[in-house]
Order: sequence, then structure tokens, then C-alpha cells
Amino acid sequence: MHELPPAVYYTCSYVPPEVIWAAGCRPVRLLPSAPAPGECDAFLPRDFCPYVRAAFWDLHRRAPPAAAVVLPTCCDPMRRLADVLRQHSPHVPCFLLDLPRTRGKREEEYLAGRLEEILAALRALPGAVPPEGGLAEASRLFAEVRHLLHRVARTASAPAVHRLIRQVHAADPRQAVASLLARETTASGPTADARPRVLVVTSHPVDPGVLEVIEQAGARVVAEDSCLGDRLLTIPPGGSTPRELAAAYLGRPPCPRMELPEERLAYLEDVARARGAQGIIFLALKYCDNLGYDFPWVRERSALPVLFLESDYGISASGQLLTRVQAFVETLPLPAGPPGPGPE
Amino acid sequence: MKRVPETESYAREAVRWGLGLLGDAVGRRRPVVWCNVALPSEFVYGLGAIPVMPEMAAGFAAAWRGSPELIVRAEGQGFPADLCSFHRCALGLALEGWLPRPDAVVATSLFCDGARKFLHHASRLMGAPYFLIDVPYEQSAHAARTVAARLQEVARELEGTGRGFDSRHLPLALESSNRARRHYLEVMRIRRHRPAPWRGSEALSYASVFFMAFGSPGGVRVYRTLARSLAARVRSGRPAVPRERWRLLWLHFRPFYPGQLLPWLEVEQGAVIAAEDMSYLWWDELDPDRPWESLARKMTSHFMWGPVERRVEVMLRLARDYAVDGIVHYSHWGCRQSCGAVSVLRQASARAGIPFLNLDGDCIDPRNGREEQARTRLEAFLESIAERREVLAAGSGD
Repeated sequence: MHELPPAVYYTCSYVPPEVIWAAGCRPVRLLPSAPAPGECDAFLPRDFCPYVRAAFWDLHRRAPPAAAVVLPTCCDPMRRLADVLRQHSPHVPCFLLDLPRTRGKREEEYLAGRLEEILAALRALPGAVPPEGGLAEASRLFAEVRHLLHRVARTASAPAVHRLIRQVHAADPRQAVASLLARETTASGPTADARPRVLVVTSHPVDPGVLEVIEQAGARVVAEDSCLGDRLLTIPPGGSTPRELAAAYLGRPPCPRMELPEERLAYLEDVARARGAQGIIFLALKYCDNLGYDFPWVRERSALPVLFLESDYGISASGQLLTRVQAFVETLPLPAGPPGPGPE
Repeated sequence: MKRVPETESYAREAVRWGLGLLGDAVGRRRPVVWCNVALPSEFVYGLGAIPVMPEMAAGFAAAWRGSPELIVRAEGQGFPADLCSFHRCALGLALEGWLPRPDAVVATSLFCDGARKFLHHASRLMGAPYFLIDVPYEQSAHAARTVAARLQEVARELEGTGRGFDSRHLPLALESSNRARRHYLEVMRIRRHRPAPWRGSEALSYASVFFMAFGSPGGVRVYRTLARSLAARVRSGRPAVPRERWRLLWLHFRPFYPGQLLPWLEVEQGAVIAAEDMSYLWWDELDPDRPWESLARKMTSHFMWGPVERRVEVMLRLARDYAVDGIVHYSHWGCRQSCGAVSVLRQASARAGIPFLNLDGDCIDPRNGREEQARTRLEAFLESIAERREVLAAGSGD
């Protein structure tokens, strides 16, 4: 019987699935289906990132256990997750990827070194069989997946794209390429739509149901700046070496955890302008410090009206969300023409 | 002329140092650098500048009951209420313009996200250039070299601003730090005495000295005087509390606003805080001939950075060295890096056979302090320690 490669979970879009694939493992983005229950309080505080709590609970209770998990040092809760897993779930091998907070040649070199370490460690996992073509082939495959997703994103709705991204992140990239190629894509741009257009800004992998509620409230989500949204699709092709891959990942539009607010704001302005956004919905995950400090920058610099919504992991309080978004949408003007395809 | 009691002399030195520093900063006699507590103050003094740590200023604001208003001010600018109150209060101070204006803002990624984030906002509010010392998470020679290179780079850029920064002060700053360090190690040694000569609640009030004075001549005087004062207390049999019944190790900071919790704990209950991890001196002597490497090693070797096992090791060492009966972790609101480690710290304490208590609270915002709840939990904790002691005594046939 053909054995599946060991499933290696990861929790952040700065962790290159290319490296996991090149090591002979199956990269799976960890997307817990529900928030952590109260029992999780014995391991992590209640006033703590709900995504990290959910991720811990998933890994702690998963059966059979994950072959491994790769965690980035992207934030305080994620670093503590690594500690808590090591102590309370020692059956789950945990590898830490140290991420720089700015970018430049020195940072690329540093990250490349860390990627090489992760590659070597994952290759040693039982059942890991590195595929032919190594990192170069892995980079090519995942670049193609992102390119095809980007093409789909030009015409499909944001919730639909989001669901597709979630599916693709659990699949073999070769199968993902095949299934994306098989989808119908139109050559024309997005259709005209009378709904006001919004850009959703957040940090965590938002529940697609949240995007659906926003659209139900009368808005059209033309872009989603999140860990599983447009920011993921803007990673340039990675090249054949860890150094080139590091440069690609550090070179993408920065997320709130990076110490690059000017670049981040410029990116958000570009996206908003290119997609014809008329408002910004800032979906603030509770207890997310990086995103919390992002909000004042966005509010101050954006020429667009901004709605601040506090959210939990998952889709709790959808009624309240609907009401608040409806009220916000009613203040937005109607769009003048179809939204643009967005930045390349 | 009335003779000043010797035990107050260290306080006098601390005030002299602090007000002198403030005077120099306000009077702009030297460049001012805003930084977080994790940046070695020797780096700033070594550039001929004055460190101002808004996080410590938040503690003073809390002590004078000014923190709630400052926190509300920051929240009014869009900073969410679930962020650390040290940082919200510090932002309030920046928004009000109550701190000496910085010539530069230097942040480090130690120990938490919030510190570098709030300083980046502060730099924008103050119109001062922002510099980040990004510290690798690993403790290695490579990490130390990376940080050393970055420190040198930032120093060069600061010198290039024309605001009076000058790295020729570095060797002297490191020598001062080393002298202060020797006195501080003596303080740590004396504090092992039973009964404790110094209350931990007071030691934590000197956090600003610990983070800001190393590298300055004032720091040397404070710790030299403190060591002498504590030694005098031990010689003359003057303990920190009238009747010491229990010895505790306190993890993280304390509530800085006025309250009765710690006086009740230490004086009334006799549960003296014999040691604190936030006052633990972790670094080796610095080498004035190799300043960048020394400062880099000070940063990369910090026990609050990297895997939590480092903090566990320090916790257990302090618990043993100070012969504590229990460990209390004060879970400050918004402090993910510390509170996220509680389950690991608790487990390690249990394995070592040391009772552990986690207390939810807030170091800066009295509205979130939960003092009554904390007192109730501490009461129960002390009772459990007492029972444990009786069981152990019965078991040993005492």
C-alpha cells in the first residue's frame, strides 16, 4: 500500500510549504475547525490568542498525532505554543522557525540558514522521502498553485477564493495544480456589482463564514489581507535555494508582525486603490498584539472609512457582526464601476 | 544634626541618580534615547546619551495614580484595551508629551512584541528616528555576532544624526556597569539571608534602577550603598518584616499603583518575597575592550528570551538559593510572553515539589487589579503551604 508522506503541520504563511514538501513530507496548514474548549485553560491562558489556543488543542488531541509541526517565532503566543507543546505534548515533534522582523541581505541570509535546518530536520522524520527535483521543483509547484489561485481570485468572490485556498492547503500541490487548472476561469475582469466594496484586514486565518456574513450584510469583499488571503498569493516564486526562498518570503507584502509599517500601509493603499475598495473592515482578533498595534496606523493613514470589529477564532456572534457591518455598509457610497484585478 | 539612618541611604542615592538623569534629559544636556527595558542601558550611556524607558515611566505614573487617564488617552487613539497596560500607559505618556523628548527611539525584539510595537508608534508621535535591534531566538555565537553587528550599525547611524551621540563613552560605561554588577551580586548574596533583609516588593520598586542604571556612575553608588545597607541590617538583626513565616519567589512585576496587597502579604502575613526573577542578574561581566560582543551576549543570553526552559532553570535556581516555600506568578494583563508560560512553570514547580500560585492582575491599571480576589487566593495559598510544612515535618518525625 502506498504510504502517504508524513503530515507536517504549520501555522503561518511565513513558513514555506516548499521546504516541507522538499523534505519529503506533506505540508498541511493547521486550521482548527473550532475554538479551544475551556479545558485548554490548564495549558494556555484564557486571555490569549484564540487561534494559538485552538492550534494547541488540535495538536494536543489529534489522533493519530501529527508527524511534526513547524512553528514560526512570529509572535509571543506562537513562541509560547512551542514551549507548551514541548512540555505537554512531547509526542508531537515541534520545530521552530526563527523569523526576522525586517528585511535585507542579512535577514535573508539568517532565514536561509533556519530554512536549511528545518529541511534537514524534516528529512530525518520517519517516512520522509524527498521527491525528485528537491527545493527547486517544490518552489515551482507552489508558485504555480499561487499563480492559479491568483487567477481564480480575479473573478471569484472572496469567500469562494478563501474556501479554495483552505482546500488547496490540505492537498498535494500536484493535485492542487490539476484541480485549479480544471476550473473554469474567464479571461475578462470581475463583473460589475452594485454592492459597496470593502477590503478586509486581519491577521489570522479568518473563518470563511465571517467573509460570507460580511457579504450577506451587503458588502462585496474585494480583497482579504490575512494569513490565508491575498497576502499569501503575493509571495513571489521562490527559486531553487534556501536563500532565494528566504528572499521571496521576506520580499512579500509584510504582515502586521513585521516591523515594516510604511511598506505595509503602502501595500494596503495599493490593494484598496487597485480593487476600488470604498471601506476597510478591520477584523481584530482578540489578544493579537501585532494586529492591535496595526490598527492605529491603518486608521490614521487610510483615506477610506474603517470599521473596527473585534473577533474571536471561528464565527461566533455572527448576528452582531452582521448588524455592525450592515450599519457600516450603509455609510459607504455605491461603486462607480467594476473592481480592478488587483496588484500583481 | 540628626544622623540619617543608614538603611535609607540607598534610597537617597536612587533618588539622586533618578532625578539627576531626569534633569539631564529635560535640560537636554545629553541626547535622549527612548528604549524598552530589555535594551542594555550600557549601550545608551556608552553613546553619551540618557536612557528613558517609557515602560518604567508607566510604573511611576501608576504609583501616582495617573495611569488610568493615560491608558484611556491611548485607547482613544485606537490602541485596543487588550494590549499590555504598561504599553498603553506609555503611549498615553507619549501622547501627552510628558516624557523628555527623544532624539532617537531604539527598540529590541526582547522580550515581547508589544515593546517594539509601542516604541515604533512612539517614534512617529515624537518625530524621532526608530531603530530596531532584532535579536535571534537562539542562544549561539552566531546570534551574538549578528546582534553585535547590529548594535554597531545602530551606533554608527546614531552618531551620524549629529545629535551628540558618541560611542567613545562605551568603555567607561561598561566599566561602570561591571562595578555596579559586583555590588549587585553582593546584594543578591546578602538577600539569601534568613530572615530576609529586604522586602521583594521594595526590590521590585527598584526595577527602574535595575534596568536603567547599569552603565552610569549613579548605578554604582546605588548598589554599593544598598549592599552596605543590607549588610548592616543583617549584622544588627533587623529583618525586612517583623516576623518572617514564609519565603516566596515572585515571578514577573508587581502592581505599581498604591494598594494593600503586598504590605498585607509581606508584613501582616509574614510571607516575604525573598527573590524575584525580574531582579535576577543574568549576565557575565562585560569586556570594555570588546563592547559590542559583550552587549550582544548580554542580550542573547537573557533567560526571558528563547525556549521557556531557560526561565524555568532560573526559577528553580532562585527557589533553591533563596530557600522559598512557594512561587507566585503575577499574570499581568496583556503580557502574553509571561502568562503563556504559566502551565510550564507550574509543572516545573510541581516536579520540584514547590507550591505554585498564578495570580491574575494588572501592574499598571488599578481598575483591573483584582486585589480582593488576589488576597483571597494568596490566603488559601499560604494555608496550603502551612499544611504542607506540617505534613513534611510529621513525615520527618520532627
